[in-house]
Parts: sequence; structure tokens; C-alpha cells
Amino acid sequence: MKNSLKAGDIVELVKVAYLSLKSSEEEINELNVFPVPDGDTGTNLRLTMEKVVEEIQRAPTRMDEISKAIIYGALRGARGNSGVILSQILRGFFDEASQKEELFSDDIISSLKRAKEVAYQAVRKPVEGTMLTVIKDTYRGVKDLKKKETPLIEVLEKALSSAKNSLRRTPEYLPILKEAGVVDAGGFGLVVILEGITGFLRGEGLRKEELVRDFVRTPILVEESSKFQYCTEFLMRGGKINRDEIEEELEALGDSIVVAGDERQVRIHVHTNEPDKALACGLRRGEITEVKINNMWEEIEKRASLDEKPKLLAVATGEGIKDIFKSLGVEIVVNGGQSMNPSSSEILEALKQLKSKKAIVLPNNKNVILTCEQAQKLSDKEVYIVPTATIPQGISAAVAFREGEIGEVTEEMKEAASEVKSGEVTRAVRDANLGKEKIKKGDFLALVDGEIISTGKNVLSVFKKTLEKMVSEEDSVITVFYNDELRKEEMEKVKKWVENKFPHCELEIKWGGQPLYPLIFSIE
Amino acid sequence: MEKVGLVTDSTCDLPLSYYKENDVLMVPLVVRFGDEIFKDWMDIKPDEFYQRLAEASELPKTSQPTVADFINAYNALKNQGFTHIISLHLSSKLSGTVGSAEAARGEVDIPVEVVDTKMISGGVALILRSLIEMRRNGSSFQEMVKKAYELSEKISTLGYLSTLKYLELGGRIGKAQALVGTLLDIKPLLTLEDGVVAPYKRVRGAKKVIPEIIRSFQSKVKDAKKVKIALSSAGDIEEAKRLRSELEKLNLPLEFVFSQIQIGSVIGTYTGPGALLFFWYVES
Repeated sequence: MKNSLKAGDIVELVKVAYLSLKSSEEEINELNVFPVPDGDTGTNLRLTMEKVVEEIQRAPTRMDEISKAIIYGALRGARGNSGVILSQILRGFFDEASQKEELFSDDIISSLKRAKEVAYQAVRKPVEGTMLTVIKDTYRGVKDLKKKETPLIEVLEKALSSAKNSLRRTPEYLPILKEAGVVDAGGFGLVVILEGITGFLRGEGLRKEELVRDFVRTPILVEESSKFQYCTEFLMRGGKINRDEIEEELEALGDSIVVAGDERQVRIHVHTNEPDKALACGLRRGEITEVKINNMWEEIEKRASLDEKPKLLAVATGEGIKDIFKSLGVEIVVNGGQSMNPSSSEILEALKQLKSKKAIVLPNNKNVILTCEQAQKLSDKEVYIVPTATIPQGISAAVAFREGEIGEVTEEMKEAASEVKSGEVTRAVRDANLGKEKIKKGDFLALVDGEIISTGKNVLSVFKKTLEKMVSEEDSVITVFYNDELRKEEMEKVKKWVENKFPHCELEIKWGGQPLYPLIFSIE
Repeated sequence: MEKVGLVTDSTCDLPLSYYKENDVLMVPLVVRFGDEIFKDWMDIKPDEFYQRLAEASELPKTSQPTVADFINAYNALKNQGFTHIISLHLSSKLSGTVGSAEAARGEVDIPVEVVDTKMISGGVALILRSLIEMRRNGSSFQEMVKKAYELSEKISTLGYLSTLKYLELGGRIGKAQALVGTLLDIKPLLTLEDGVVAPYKRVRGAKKVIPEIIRSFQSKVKDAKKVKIALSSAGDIEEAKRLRSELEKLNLPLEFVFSQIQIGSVIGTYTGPGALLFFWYVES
């Protein structure tokens, strides 16, 4: 086993690093959710390394020249945020290494230190939970090894295991990773490089399967309850700040340590049970400001409780119509409508199930509004009712729903509901006289906003007559929901007819599956 | 004597002649159709891009400039005698361009301020235009930097995309994810929230889009003394013309700084054809 790396070894290891990245490119891409979830971290890292390989092939084999070529290649090839950070890691490492003829254990450690420093300096706002954290922890893992005596391979093995531990913890820092249940893609890239290099020196090669199993295929679960209670953060100013020294002191107090900045000012972050001691660590060295101490256990509890963002609840029948409401962001649809009004306790129960402290309710039927108002009084949630009297009004209101101040949003929803003409075609339940017209039981009649517009024996001709009377020049959208009494092909014909008749309108026809009404429609 | 150099990237979506006339150095991003690589605006103009996009079997990919591209750009300005540089770029939440520029600034020995404008297209163009004017009037580097950050906070955006497909497949949909998958044909209005794409409002029917934009705009610029505007379109500029003529009817003190910006290949990869982006700020 080697106890130093010579220029020729470096050339070989760079190629190994490149090939390791290349073989894991797809897996790295898969993990990419931060900062831009475009699934190209692996590609970017590979492209960055590709240029490095290209450069060193032209360079003579002396450590300083190889180092220069690596730095130049990385800067030229750096693609994507992760590529840029990789280029800075390489720059730091080989800046340091270029001064040696061969790299012994202690040189590797000091080069890793420089790599970490340069990487942090190049990014204006370092984000923890990324490649930066992994390179930092990699260095931290080896910095206490007996520099000269530790065999080279042991230094690398320790660096690799520290990098893996750090990678596993990236979702603790970055909520977006936690949500997606993944580790940081760029950080994984670094682990792949280290694994490749270490494996090669061991004479084994890249253990890709194992890496993929541990970090890509296994969903990453974050231990919610940290053993440390207080997240402590502050800014410290002073002269000649020694960051390493502060880090060491904080390590005795807790974990998730970040000490970022320069000699005059550092931002300090630690999870600890002794925030007083953490602050004292700063106070002993200078003045502190922007102190923030959060009780994380309390926050975890809060997070498990209810959301502040309002959620939508609607009352409707018909599978198609319910699905449409859900696709518009309605959280719960309570079954109910004409002649099957839900009880206020059903509404109340649904309100209870909503995962939010605030609710906006769409009754979608004249007779349900009152029931909802009763539930509103009984509920311990903040409930707003947009008094929609028809399904089309409800849909317009749901479309107008957005994030924002709830009072303002409900006003906009009311306005949207008031701008739509709602219609339905149904059957007469008994004979009746309507002005000059006689309606027989079983005839179809079309109502728009509660008023009978036309009647007849055929459902579709009644519908067409109604549109002819009701669609004006200002209208631009006609929406129709049909049920199982009508066939899709019949509706296709209606579609053609409407498009010819009202070319200024957009038309949408959907299966609503509602009972009682063959057609529900809106004109707006 | 201070001499401020201006650098931007191709996503301001201004034609090459604009940079030449105003002494701005533009560093292009890159768009890739399979193995074919094009420098945004340099090798591929919007018309050709939308043509290719319509015919392409696979969506194009985009890449930020490399660190070396920026080092070269900054050094070129330094060699021309510039003493300071302001480098204006599209939102860091949408692209790593700011990251490349940040890494490059350490390699140059004159002060370089890399500004994350949190904007795209016409939004970046408005800031660039303002800095060009300031430089002409002899403003200092510090004043210009301050203005750049001020505007990046101030500019409002409303956007209409004829489809969210490109934004979603390109991984830039951000908070507008909530708008995907509705069963009715919904026209979403989008905005940029701290540099991330976010939903603003939903409307039904293409005809309601412009009235809704006007309504939202009006409610936000009441009593303004001067409003500066940029309009960007992907492909068809008819909608932008219509929006402009509706805006002109409002009887507000509007200045159309740019009203016919064509969205180029990189931004167009995510908006798709038919997009309309409206940027404005109230001049104080």
C-alpha cells in the first residue's frame, strides 16, 4: 500500500474520480431537488470532471503543473451549482497540494482543509446541507488524526466514512431534502468520488451498488427529535477570530455546527442543550448580535399540529364534479346537494378532519348554506363561507381560490361566484302552467339562476334553446357537466353545435355524474 | 477615476445589438437539443428556437455559463480599463449562473458585484437599462449597485403561460406546482416570489387573462407618478400588443421601456411558446 501520492498517482485518481462520477451520473441526477430540481447534478459534475481529465492529459507530470491543470480544467468545465462548488473544492485542494512534490497523509489533511475554506469563500451565502457541509465534515473527520503516522489509506477511509455520515444528515439542514426524502445530490457526488478513489487505492474499485442502496434507494428518514433542544444562532464580531478553535469548543456542546465567515465576523450555529455556554463562547472573543434561540422540541410539536393556511371544503354530488373540485384544490368534498342535503353534523365532522385551523366552505346549494352556517357556529375553527348557491358558482369560486389573506381571498371568491350564470336542465315532477306554456310531468325544463328559460321533450334541444337565449356577446366561457342519461357521442354533437353558434366562446364539456340533472352548465 | 463595466447574461432577452450600442458585455447561457449546442441569442435566435422546439422529440436542456466564461468576461473589461464591474443575472433560484459569476469574481483583481436580480427576461432588462442610464449620467459604482438591488426587490411580475408543461418538465415550476392537474382548462397567472415561480391567480378562458392582468396591475399602481414597464413574449407578440393597448387606455403615467422583448431560447425552454411576461416598477 502506498504511503504517498505522486503526480502520476494524482493523474490516475482524477480519471478514477471522473469514471466514478460517470458511472453514477443517473443516480446523482435522480437525487437532485435543490437548488433547482432539474435533475442534472450528476451530468454537471461529470461534465466538470471531464474538462479536468482533458486538461491533465496535456500537462507534464509534475505536481505543480498537474495541480494547475486540474484547477484550470475545473474552472473551465464547471457546470451547475454543484459543478461550481466542485471546482472550488479542487481549486483549494490543489492550491495547497501544488507546493509539494508528493502528498503524504498530513498533506492530504491540510489540502482538505484548504478545499473546505475555498469552497465556502466562493459562495456568498453558504447553504448547509449541500456539498459544502459534506466537504466540511470530511475535513473535520480527519483533522484530529495523527497527521504523520496515520497511513494514507486510513486517512482516506476516515474521510470517506465522515463524508457518508455527513451526507446522511444533509436532510436535517435542508427542509426541501427532508420533504423529498433524499440526501443532497451534490454531496452524494462527493461521496462517489471519495469512494471511487479509496476503492481504487484499496485495489477494489467503486462499490457503487452499496452506495446506491444506502443513499439513493433507501428513503431517508430524519430523526425528528434531536437529542439537542435549542437551535442557537448568532453573529459574532471581533479581531482575529479563529474559526477552528470556536468549532472545537462548540463540538463539546452539541451538533449541527456551522461557523462561517472571516477573521472579523462569523455566523455561528449550533444545536445544543446549553445555549448559554454557546453564547459565552462568542462573548469571550468579541461582541455578539442577532442572537436567535429556538426551542426545537416545541417547534416539532407545533409542526405536528394544524396548518395556518386555509383549506377548502365543498358540498357536491356526482363523482365527476367531485373530482373537478378536488383538482381545483378542494381538500374535502362532502356528499350532498339538491334533495340530499347534508346535516350540519356531517359538515362539522368534515371541518374537524381538515388539516388546517382555517376553512373556506362552498355550500353549492341554496338549502345547504344555512346548514353550513350552523356548522360554522359550532366549529372551533375559523370558518369562512362563500355562499355559493349552485355548482357552477362553487366551481368559479374554487378557481378564484389562492394563497393570501383569507378575508381578501374570500371576497374575491364571492365576486367570482357572482360573475357566472348558472343553469341546469331537469325534469318536471308534475304538470304545470308556465305563462302561456304548459309543462307535462316528465318534460325537460332549463333554469338559469332559478328562472325557467325553456321547456321541451328533448333534453338537448331544450339546452340549445336556452343557450340561444342566454349567451351574450360579453360571455367567453361555457362549461357543461352531463350525467349518465347522455352519451359522450351526443355531447360531441352538442360541442360542434356550440362552437359553430358561439365562436367567441371557449367550451368545455365534462362528465359530472350528478343525479337529477342531465345537464348542469355555466355561462360566464 | 471610476469606470464601471456592465456584465449581464443572455436571459435579459435583448438583441446583441443592444449590448453593443450600450457597451454591455453579455455572457450567454447555453441550450442543448440532444447533442447540438447553441449559445443563447448568439447561435440561436428566438424564431429558430420555437421552430425547433415545436419539432423536437425531446425537450431541450439549458446550462449556465462556466466560471471561466465569467473570468474571461471580467478580465476583458479590466483590460479595457474598467475599474469596477456590476454583473446582473437571472434569479439564482432558477439558474446557477449567479453561482458561476460568484466563483469567478474571486479570480479577478478589480471589484465585481454579482447581483442576483431574482428576475428573468424583461425584469433583468429593466435593471440593466436603468444602470446604463446611471452610468451615462456619471453615477458612482456604489450608487449603481444600490439601485440594482433596490430594483430587484421592487419589480413586480405577472406572467401568463399557455401551458405549464415546459415549466414543470424543466423543473422550474416552484410553488406553481399546485396549479398542475386541474381537470378544467384553467389559465394560470404566475408571478415571481423572491425569484421563485409562484401562482398568482387562476382564471377560466383565455379572454379573461388580459382583463385580469389589468385589474391586478391597476390595484397595485394607484397614485403612482411613473411606472416603467417591460413586456416579453415567446413567439407571438400579438398578446403583448393587445396588453399594451389596454394598458394605455388606463390613463396612468406609463413608460414602456421595452414592449417587444422576444423571449430567447433559454427562458423559452421553460415558458414554452405563447408566453407573455409583464414586468413593472413604480419610479420614485
